[in-house]
Amino acid sequence: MHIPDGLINDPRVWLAADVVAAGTVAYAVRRESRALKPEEVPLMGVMAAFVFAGQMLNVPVAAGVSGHLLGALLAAALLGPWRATIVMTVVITVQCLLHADGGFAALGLNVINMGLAGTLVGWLIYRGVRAVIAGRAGVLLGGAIGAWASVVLGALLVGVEIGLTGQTDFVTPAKALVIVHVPIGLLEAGITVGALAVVLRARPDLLGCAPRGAVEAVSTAEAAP
Amino acid sequence: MSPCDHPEQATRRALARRVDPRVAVVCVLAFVTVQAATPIEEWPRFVAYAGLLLIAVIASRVSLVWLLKRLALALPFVIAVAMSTLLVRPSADSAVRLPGTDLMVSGPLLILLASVAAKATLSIVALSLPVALWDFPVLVRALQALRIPRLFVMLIAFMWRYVYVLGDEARRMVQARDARSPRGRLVRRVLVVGSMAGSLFVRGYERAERVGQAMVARGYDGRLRLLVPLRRFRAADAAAVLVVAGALCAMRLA
Amino acid sequence: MNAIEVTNLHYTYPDGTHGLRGVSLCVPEGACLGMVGPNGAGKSTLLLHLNGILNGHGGVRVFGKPVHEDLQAARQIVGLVFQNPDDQLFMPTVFDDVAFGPLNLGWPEERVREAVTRALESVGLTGHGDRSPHHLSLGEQKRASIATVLVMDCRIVVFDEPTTGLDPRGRWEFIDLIRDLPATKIIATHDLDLVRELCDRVVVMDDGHLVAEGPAADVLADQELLEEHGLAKPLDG
Repeated sequence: MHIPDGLINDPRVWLAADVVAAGTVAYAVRRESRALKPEEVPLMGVMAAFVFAGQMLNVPVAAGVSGHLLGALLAAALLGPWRATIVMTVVITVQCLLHADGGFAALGLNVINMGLAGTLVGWLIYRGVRAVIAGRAGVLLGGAIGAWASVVLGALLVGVEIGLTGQTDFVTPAKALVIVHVPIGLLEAGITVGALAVVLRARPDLLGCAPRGAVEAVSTAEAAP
Repeated sequence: MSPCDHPEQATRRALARRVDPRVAVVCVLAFVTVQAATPIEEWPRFVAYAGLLLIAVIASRVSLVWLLKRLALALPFVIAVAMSTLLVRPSADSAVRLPGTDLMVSGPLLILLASVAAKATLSIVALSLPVALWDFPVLVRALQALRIPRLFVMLIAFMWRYVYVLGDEARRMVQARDARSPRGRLVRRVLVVGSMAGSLFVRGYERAERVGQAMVARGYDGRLRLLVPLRRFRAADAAAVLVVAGALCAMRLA
Repeated sequence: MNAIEVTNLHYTYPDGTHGLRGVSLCVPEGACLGMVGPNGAGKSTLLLHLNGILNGHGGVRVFGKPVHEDLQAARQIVGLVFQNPDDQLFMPTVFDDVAFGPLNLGWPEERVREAVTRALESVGLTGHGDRSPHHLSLGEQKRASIATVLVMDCRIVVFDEPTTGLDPRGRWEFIDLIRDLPATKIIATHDLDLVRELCDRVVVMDDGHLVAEGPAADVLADQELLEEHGLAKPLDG
């Protein structure tokens, strides 16, 4: 849901979002630059490409309708919240500049709705669930709830952003937007769980889990039964 | 599905390519921001913006079909707002008559519809011009010269390089799945795409480890050094800045 | 003088897998050494030690100097050509990629430009500098990979599976290119014809050990040895 320029008509709203997003991302960059090892820079770059390419994997839902992964929560689970924030910002910015997908004035809004909602809030939920339920089950359940929440929260934020102008006539469309995203969030949750399950099997170390027996190779064969 | 759809070669000979890419990027971003900040009620300004943009489009020799395809990205939003305008019952003080009909609709929603249609169109067309005119590596250099944080420049460069590689892998996975005709319940289909994403991640991660090794093998120490061919500003660059800045100022003050 | 001297090298991967279990190896200057062995034998692991990317127990010396005394110096001497050009070529354009090493060595801009032009010319890619690696054919990608090491005037060039995926013509062009390189060469490969064509000496690795070493003709003719380590015997051997 890349918001184009003009959907949020009031400049005060998108300017404020630009400032909030820029501040958060600047913090993330300052914080991570210090700890970043040289070889982790290509890692984050390739992860940005992964999120971009992962959005090409479409799920046929019904005739003519298909959905795809957003990936903010998945990125946060795999890279940590701040690195995922940087990666999602890069993805969303390039999508804006290269594909004109999402507006430029609205860049801050998109970074908040599609990035921060998942990489920070979704991630907190994911960590919370993992703190209660240990092991694989915690990773999968936390991933599912976090991914679903990140999508619904993203839609909720768009609704709030539209509603900030104070027009009562905007309430109904904003509500509809959130309701539509409740099932879309389930799609995100399902894809995220599927992805985490593969990573748990192939590289559990990346999710902070101990390897279970021998490390198996991941192949396309097991990805597409 | 291509990560960077490139328009035909016509733009190679375009007048607009005489402008320095850095200047072009700054002009486009300034234009997009200024028009987005203009209240939609002041509609004559948007006629002027569109005129300015039209000149840039002609000078860039971009094909209309290519622009229309990109404009389709905003279509779902325009349709959604249009449907809301038609379906939402307006409150008593905000109802206006839809021009040419007897239908009473919400004034604020009608204004929102005009806003998203006009601003998204201007924004998408303007943002498309630099991409149509220059190859991506040139634009990355322009961003670097504009003092975007180094980490971002590096990540954008890596992402662009590996989006093709991972995109090819993703495409092959989708083909392999579709070749085995994915019948089955929705839950199953969703989980299959999930495991494809997981495989893509693991392969990407392991590729990144090898890329890191290849970089270290050639003396990489964490700083990306690029030769930026910084061209001197020329008359065309100054002219572009003056025209865009002057036009934007005039439109805001008028 | 020995270009490379490896003494009793051990390496264990972080997940506990043994990569190398005591490998010793000498490569004289100017030699062309073939390294064969099944997948997982430890060939790539050994190659990654030669300019200090991995750091196991034991000694690795390049022209007499321990690699870890001066990593940057070792990396200018030993050039590594990775198996997959998508790993080796990571920059947006071929020019940027070939210029990457020299820029890291701190060369001045003019010298970098000259060296890149010369390296691209020597692999037959003059005029392709502005292209994206993704838009090159596999053969061109492999040649660009070589240019990225040639440009640094490496005295030792190490290849990991150089001919994988090439069609027959691309493979022969590539073999000619390697043969003409004025450097000490180490080639890890499954392509025994390539070894026969280019190498004077061969080592056989299996399970982290160096199991045989000798003149190429002798090793490639040893049917029993090749069968024992899962390597096909050359058809005309």
